[in-house]
Amino acid sequence: MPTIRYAALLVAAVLLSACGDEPKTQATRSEAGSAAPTDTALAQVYANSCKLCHANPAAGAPMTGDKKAWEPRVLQGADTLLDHAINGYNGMPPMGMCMQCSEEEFLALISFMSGQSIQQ
Amino acid sequence: MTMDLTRRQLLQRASIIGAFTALGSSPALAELLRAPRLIPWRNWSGGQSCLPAARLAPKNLDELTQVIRQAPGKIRPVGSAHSFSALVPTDGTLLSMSYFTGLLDHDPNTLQAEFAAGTPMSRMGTPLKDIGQALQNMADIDYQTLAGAISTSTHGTGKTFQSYSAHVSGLQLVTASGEVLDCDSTHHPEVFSAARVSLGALGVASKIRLQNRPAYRLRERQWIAKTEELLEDIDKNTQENQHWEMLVVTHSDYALSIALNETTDPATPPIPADEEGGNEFVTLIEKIDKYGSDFPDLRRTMLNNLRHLASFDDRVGDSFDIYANVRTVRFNEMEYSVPAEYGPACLREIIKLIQDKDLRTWFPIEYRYVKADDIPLSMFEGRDSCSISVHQHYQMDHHNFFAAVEPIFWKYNGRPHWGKLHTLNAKNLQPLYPRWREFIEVRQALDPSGKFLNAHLMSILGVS
Repeated sequence: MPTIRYAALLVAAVLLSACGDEPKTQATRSEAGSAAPTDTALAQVYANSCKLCHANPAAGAPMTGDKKAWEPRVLQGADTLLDHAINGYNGMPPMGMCMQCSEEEFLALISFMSGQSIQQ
Repeated sequence: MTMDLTRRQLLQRASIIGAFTALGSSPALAELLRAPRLIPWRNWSGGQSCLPAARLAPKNLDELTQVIRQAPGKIRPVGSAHSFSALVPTDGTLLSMSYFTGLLDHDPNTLQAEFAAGTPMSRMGTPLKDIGQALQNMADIDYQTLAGAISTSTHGTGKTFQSYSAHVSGLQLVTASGEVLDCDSTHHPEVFSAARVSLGALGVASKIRLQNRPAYRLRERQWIAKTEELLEDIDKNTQENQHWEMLVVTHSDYALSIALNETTDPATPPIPADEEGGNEFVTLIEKIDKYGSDFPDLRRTMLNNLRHLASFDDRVGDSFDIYANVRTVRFNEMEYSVPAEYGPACLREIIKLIQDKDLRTWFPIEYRYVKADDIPLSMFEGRDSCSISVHQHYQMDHHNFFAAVEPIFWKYNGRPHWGKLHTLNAKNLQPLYPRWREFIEVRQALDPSGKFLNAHLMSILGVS
């Protein structure tokens, strides 16, 4: 393949890969991995649902305790956060792996992960 | 996203609207407005949904048996909702086993370990390592719960490796009557045999014992090669590697070949999080398709040349860390298992169809091998198999693509993955499973009223 054609492909690929990228945020597996809600029941729900992605940087989800990553989400308001938790959004699966969670539990879990009190 | 409403749900809503009308401006209206909204259940891809009357998560065996005894209508157990088929939807009781988690017991002599049935597969590796054990094989994602994985005969890859279900050495099942059955090859053997792949139609599994092996590390090696060359080297690839699979990049001539082999080498440093699982590569392919699908030749050229951008370092780590990948892009999936010897021909036909008809898809096709087992409803019962999976991004319509591909699987005597999309019913399925009657008879004996059946299960099991 001529060099120029390969270069064009490379440029196109890089441009394409940049489309829609969200700003990278600081995420540490250890900090997010050790955090848990103080409420025992909520902690158990968190461990078996949200934590599977929100304490794993590879999942691409905002990490638990990463206020900077959560800030733009929190600004969208409780209704949007709830809607995304219940119905899914991009890589976020519906219900966030918690099949029995109520609205109150979803909001409590989001509050814990974002470090901010989220109320309707 | 739209949601189909059943007649009963429409009536429920009509009665709610009627109640609002009658209430006018009464204080009771304000109270009603504060009532929690009905929360729909959706699966991982969002393709399946329902509005269950109740979503319950019992915290212990007593609560579980009470729920099963007292629930007024149908009950469907749910794990992590990662099944693409309609195994879960119900307007009755959705039963989550999320409080049934963790390692319960183990035997260092037999290398068996017992887990609560709702344990996510992603939370089994570390506790098993701590007791010197590991699962014999794993799938490339670990979102599933243990009960969900064995209920659908979920599997990894490797010509000498069976599905998760084949490694179950015992399980506890709560039946429709609320009876608790501890089953293994000597206690309730006919129930045990069927319950290793049950579709959640025999009852609710509360704990599961697995035959494991000593903990081990794996080396992952990945390379890109022409799909046709990989197919010509199938015997070499599958015999020289304990676990081998390939991901065929549709609308290209290339595939990603992945080989995992046991090693005693030290673990390699973790790779950057955003490179894990090849998700960036998948995103790149998506964008090439998005902007290039109107220019098929250019798209093929670009996809073929992606290999020049890819480089892969070997990874070494604990088995459970190497098997599983994070999937940040959601999708719907159809998978069939065909007799192993038909795998290459079946795949070639699918690739040709996609190319000839320029079918709209960009997700790679997954191509794996699974060893035969002896479980009545296992996709691998009685035959070594090749599993071929086609995917579609969750926001793209999958119906036309899957409908075009599915007859090819039928031609090669394929059995659909129970947790993935297919269009077969009992009439089509029964001839594919020589031991079909064994399962049907156990189900009828354990749940004659069909408490654990939904419409999908009634269709695929032939229950009226």
